Amino acid sequence: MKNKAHLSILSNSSNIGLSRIAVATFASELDFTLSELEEIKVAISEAVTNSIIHGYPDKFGDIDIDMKINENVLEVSVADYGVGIKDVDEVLKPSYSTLDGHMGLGLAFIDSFMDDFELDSELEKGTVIIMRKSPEQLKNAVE
Amino acid sequence: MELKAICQDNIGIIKLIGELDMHSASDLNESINTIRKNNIKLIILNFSKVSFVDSTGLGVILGRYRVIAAENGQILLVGLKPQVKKIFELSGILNVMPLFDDENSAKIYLQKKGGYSFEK
Repeated sequence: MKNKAHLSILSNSSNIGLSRIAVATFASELDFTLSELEEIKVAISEAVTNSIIHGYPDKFGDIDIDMKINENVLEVSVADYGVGIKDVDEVLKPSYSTLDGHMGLGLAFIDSFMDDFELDSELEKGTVIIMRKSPEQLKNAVE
Repeated sequence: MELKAICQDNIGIIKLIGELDMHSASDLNESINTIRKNNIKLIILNFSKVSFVDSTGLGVILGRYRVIAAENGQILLVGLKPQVKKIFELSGILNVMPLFDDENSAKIYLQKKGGYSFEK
């Protein structure tokens, strides 16, 4: 099975809900359980929130969400064109946060709820996070 | 997200309805602060009608908890749905905030701890 979809949003917090619902609806084409779809919603919410808060701290900007299904793998990329990350390795450390009132759990949740993810960033160019997940029941069937 | 806050017997009870993320987190922050301004330090957050919470929502709850705990207050959680409970468990918040199935159980817990008394 192959499919793809694209969602382009402004970095407005009111679009976070739209993003996670859109990706979860797209993902439901695969045999994800309701629990797995909830996990995907959390991961998307975290990625889009990061783009809004960290990518565009002082202004609104574009966020592109690309969704793909290839065989039984869901791949979602969330890209912003904002300030970028100076030290990606530092950001990937547990509980890393630059802001008061934030727990630094966003990437930890993405790591927990998706099979794998990649973070790529360049200063003043932007940041993209690519996340992948397959339905657990299909993985068990293969084993 | 819709928030319904009431103060009763020296306890602030906030019923949350909808999804708690960055977009709605500031409303919860404001609601808790409004209760604190009435010198109420025991707050029950009822999540029984919340279908989604992410780390920004958790961050607001933990941030308010730190302030309230420093004043010898407490935040109690009620009615976490399984998918929401998983997020709270992963964050470690349930190690510092007690969780109850319903509001009445949370009130009985506070009464037993001497945290408040029913108004006659």
